[in-house]
Amino acid sequence: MTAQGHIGQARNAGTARDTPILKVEGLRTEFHTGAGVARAVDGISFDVREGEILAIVGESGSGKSVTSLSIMGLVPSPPGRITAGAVSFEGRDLLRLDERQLQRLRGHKISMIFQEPMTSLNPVLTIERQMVEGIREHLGLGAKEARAHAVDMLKRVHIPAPENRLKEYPHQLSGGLLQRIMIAIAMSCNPKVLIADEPTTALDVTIQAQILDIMRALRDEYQAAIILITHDMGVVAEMADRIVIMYAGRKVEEGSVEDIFRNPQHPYTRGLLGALPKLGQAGEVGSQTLNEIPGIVPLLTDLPDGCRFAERCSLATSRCRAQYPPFEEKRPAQWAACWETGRLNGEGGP
Amino acid sequence: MDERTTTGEHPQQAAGEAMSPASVSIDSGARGGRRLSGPARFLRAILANRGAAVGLVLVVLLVAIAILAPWIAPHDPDEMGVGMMLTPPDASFWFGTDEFGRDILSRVIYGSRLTIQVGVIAVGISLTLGLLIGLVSGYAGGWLERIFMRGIDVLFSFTETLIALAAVAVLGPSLTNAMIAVGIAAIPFYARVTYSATLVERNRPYFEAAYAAGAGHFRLIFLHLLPNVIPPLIVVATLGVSAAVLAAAGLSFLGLGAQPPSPEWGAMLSAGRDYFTQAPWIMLYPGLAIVVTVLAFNLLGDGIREALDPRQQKR
Repeated sequence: MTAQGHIGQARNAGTARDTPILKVEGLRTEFHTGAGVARAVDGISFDVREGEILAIVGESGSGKSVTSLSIMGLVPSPPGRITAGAVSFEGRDLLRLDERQLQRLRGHKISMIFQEPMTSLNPVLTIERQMVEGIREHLGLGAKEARAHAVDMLKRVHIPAPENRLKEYPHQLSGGLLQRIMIAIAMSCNPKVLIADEPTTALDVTIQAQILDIMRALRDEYQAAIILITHDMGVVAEMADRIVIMYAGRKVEEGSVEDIFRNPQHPYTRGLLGALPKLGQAGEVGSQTLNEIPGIVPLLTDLPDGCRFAERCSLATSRCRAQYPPFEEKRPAQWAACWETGRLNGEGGP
Repeated sequence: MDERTTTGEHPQQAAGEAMSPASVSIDSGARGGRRLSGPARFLRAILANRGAAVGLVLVVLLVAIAILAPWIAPHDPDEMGVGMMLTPPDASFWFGTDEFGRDILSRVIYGSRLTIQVGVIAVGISLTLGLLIGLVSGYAGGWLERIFMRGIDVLFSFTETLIALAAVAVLGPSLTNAMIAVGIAAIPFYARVTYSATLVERNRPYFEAAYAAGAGHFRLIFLHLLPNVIPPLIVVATLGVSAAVLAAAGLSFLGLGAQPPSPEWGAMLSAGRDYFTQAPWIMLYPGLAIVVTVLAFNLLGDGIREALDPRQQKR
């Protein structure tokens, strides 16, 4: 999947609305481990608007999945704990809700799809049972109406012969079908926010594209906000309106897809984009080796005082190692946390 | 995998290709009997094991004998003097007679009813309570788990017999109380198995997905966890029947269970002790009945375990 090639066509009318539907402010989630306190998410803020697809991007251990679990109130406790922040949704702070109130929201106003469709459905229950239970509980429908609604949802995700699929068990279906069913379940109560945690990672590439198409179509139809958690910049280019780049629990860059793909303002973002194969640029630049980012994400239990990316950054100075850079607007509507943006831009494109 | 295969054009192919390697072997094994329902396929898997087939036949036979006892027993089991006292086995009294001239064959036949009762009721008690304790502890965690599972640990540190004896001492000697006692004594075992199965299941992605979809406690425990922890419990319960039969017979033998003139096998053994040197058949046949019953349930339990264990599928 090419990255830059799709940017233009991926944009959509859905971005117009301005009021955020979900707003995360200063979220901090810690895990108490034997090696000390790991701050998996350290003061993350962002918002999503109606009908918008926001991608949260980062490599393993950057805190992107923990962010989504924190929003849903799914952080396992112990050892996890949300120690600061607020998540406002429809005038309420989700972090202050009790378990019962959260339960009513989950799968209804805010729903989630997971990485592994093969294991995300209960192996001993039919698809019907698993779809209908939630629909009945959240929408208060009778058994018959709930079943009709389930069939309707399966049709919307283009599942052939939905009545037959309902009678089947998960092991009888392919991963692509199961992920579509997961999406149908997630969308069945018309959620305001859909959190998709690496929804295509476990799928074949051909099926990935179909799943992404279905998600986009549902976004257009329901005007739900989608938070897309991924490490795949190709998927981001294909899907997202805006991007938040996370590194070691913090936000390092935020902006629209166009801006970030054309003018990344953080060396880490530039590294992520440089690690992508590019079609159609073969003739332009001589060297066509993929760039890797050297090193690994620092241990969350032992974070440096300064910029957390400094260890792996070719531009790092002594100031980078000593002081964490402020998260500031580098270009209109594009923010990054880096001391050396000037030098980064001076050096030319990736 | 070609997405076309999932559009229904080639359902066979689609199912096969979508499977992980492990499930393919299972599925291809069942491919020949595609129309077999789940239970029928399961039964066939059990019968593939010769020991389990023998066990199943014996269990069915035992149940049939218990049901048909009034029609197949040649005599009233409690009627004294139907023959001479202590008659050795012969053509008219196949198993001989006991010290009161009662027909041992008839008593053994009627005794099967008590044995089945013991098995069902004792296992029912331990299964129900053990399942609930294990499920709730495994699901809830925290202080509930600590209280329940530490309690189970304490019970585990006593032998089952001791707990059963204590329970009978409190409840008083009778067959009903013996069943309850045996049932209570086996609770820790069922609770432990359920608990560990629950811990495994609740860490599976489907559980998190169901939780994230807003499922409440009740739905999570009884719709999602319960059916997934049942398979190991079927095995434990089947093996548990033989343990319960043996334990109840033991209590009756000690005079703490069935009371005379009840034709309970353990009680018959106990009563026959005094005459063992002159009339060994008094103890032989009830003893054999116990052995065969226990063996039958053990064989069946092992067969079910193998049928449920994908690693032991036929290569």
